[in-house]
Amino acid sequence: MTQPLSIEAQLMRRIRDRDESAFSELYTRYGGMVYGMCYRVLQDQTLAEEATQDSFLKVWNQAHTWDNAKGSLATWLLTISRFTAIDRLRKEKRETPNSSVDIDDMLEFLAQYADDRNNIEALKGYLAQLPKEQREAIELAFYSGFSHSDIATRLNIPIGTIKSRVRLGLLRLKSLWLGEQIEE
Amino acid sequence: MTMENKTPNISPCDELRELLPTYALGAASIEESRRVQELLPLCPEVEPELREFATIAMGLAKTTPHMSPPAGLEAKLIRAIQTPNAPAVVKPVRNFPVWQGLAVAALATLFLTNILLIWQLSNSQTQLEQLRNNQLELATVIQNPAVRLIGDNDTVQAVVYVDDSENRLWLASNSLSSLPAESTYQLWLIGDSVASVGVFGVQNGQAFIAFSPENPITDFSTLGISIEPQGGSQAPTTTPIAIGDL
Repeated sequence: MTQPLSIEAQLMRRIRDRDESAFSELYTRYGGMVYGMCYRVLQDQTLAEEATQDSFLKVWNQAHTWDNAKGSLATWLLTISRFTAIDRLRKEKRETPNSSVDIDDMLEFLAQYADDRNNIEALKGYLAQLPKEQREAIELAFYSGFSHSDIATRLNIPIGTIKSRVRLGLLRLKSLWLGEQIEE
Repeated sequence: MTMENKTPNISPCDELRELLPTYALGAASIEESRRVQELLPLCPEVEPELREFATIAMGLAKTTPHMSPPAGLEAKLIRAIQTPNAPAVVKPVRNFPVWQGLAVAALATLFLTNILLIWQLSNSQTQLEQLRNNQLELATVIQNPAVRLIGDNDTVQAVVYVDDSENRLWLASNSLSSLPAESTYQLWLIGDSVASVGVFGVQNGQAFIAFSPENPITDFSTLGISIEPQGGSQAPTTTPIAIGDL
């Protein structure tokens, strides 16, 4: 007996079939999430609107690339919107994109339990518990797509220190959120 | 005996571990990302660590507050998908009285650079001939009508010379940046439909390329440039970075 399609899978199948009402439904469900991510990265309403538009059009044009097995639709949309917004941020700053992380490559490494985990609020709390300099380094990397050397230049701090802050911050989050021992 | 500045003796898998945090956050440089992709198959024991970091990264994404999108965005999106293969955003092209001067300046720069390159590369007959051909073509096409392709802040990103009778286009630019290896510029003809003209790159900050589109140029109203994956796309997958009216 075949498994019934999830609501997400049904929605994406309709989008693949060029069903505009499904696209509208997707926007209703996830528009706030995608716009929130774009605004967090770009900090500008107009740019965030454009990045949101680009993100949803990528979904419309590349709906066939979504693979339910690699993660939820929300995970995929967040990944698309974050990288779209970061690319836009770099374009605004006339910088060449420096990241070559492919969305599919990244999703390959996402454990399914990331989607099942409901304690996102807890992670938010753990992030707030990090030393300020570790949180700052992680946020600059994650929301602005800055490499180690970009962050080092921006903060005028040795690159080794930045590497250490990002790594220790992530290890601490891993310890707190995923319940593992810190490997410092 | 020679003195060498040896890098610390670090194993490939330790090197990989060091690269994982920014890779998982999506902030690795191109070189770092390539190195991660090289090393991962060699160090399968490190993969769970990447998975955990990526899980945290996705958790971080989910902590981002939701916000109400601007009113009217959904309607814009619906309009965009109702136009087959249409680019996401088409910005109005405004009259710009000095465009022709800029276009000529762009070509003049290319022309001078070609002369310099001829001096520098005079030991290569093939390159020399190529550059001379470029010069001749430049001199010819500058007589044709031109379209300026405007990007952000009303800056001229490229100039396209059009020859309707031969269905030929020549694109010249000294404003576009070089792209990473996995991306390319793609020129599009835009009208009721969108047709690819071709892909092109930028070398030494400049581009001068001749195209012979498959579709009649006169069937379209607009030209646009977008950034696409290497090899180009069937239809634009990103917002055009510059457009201009034919």
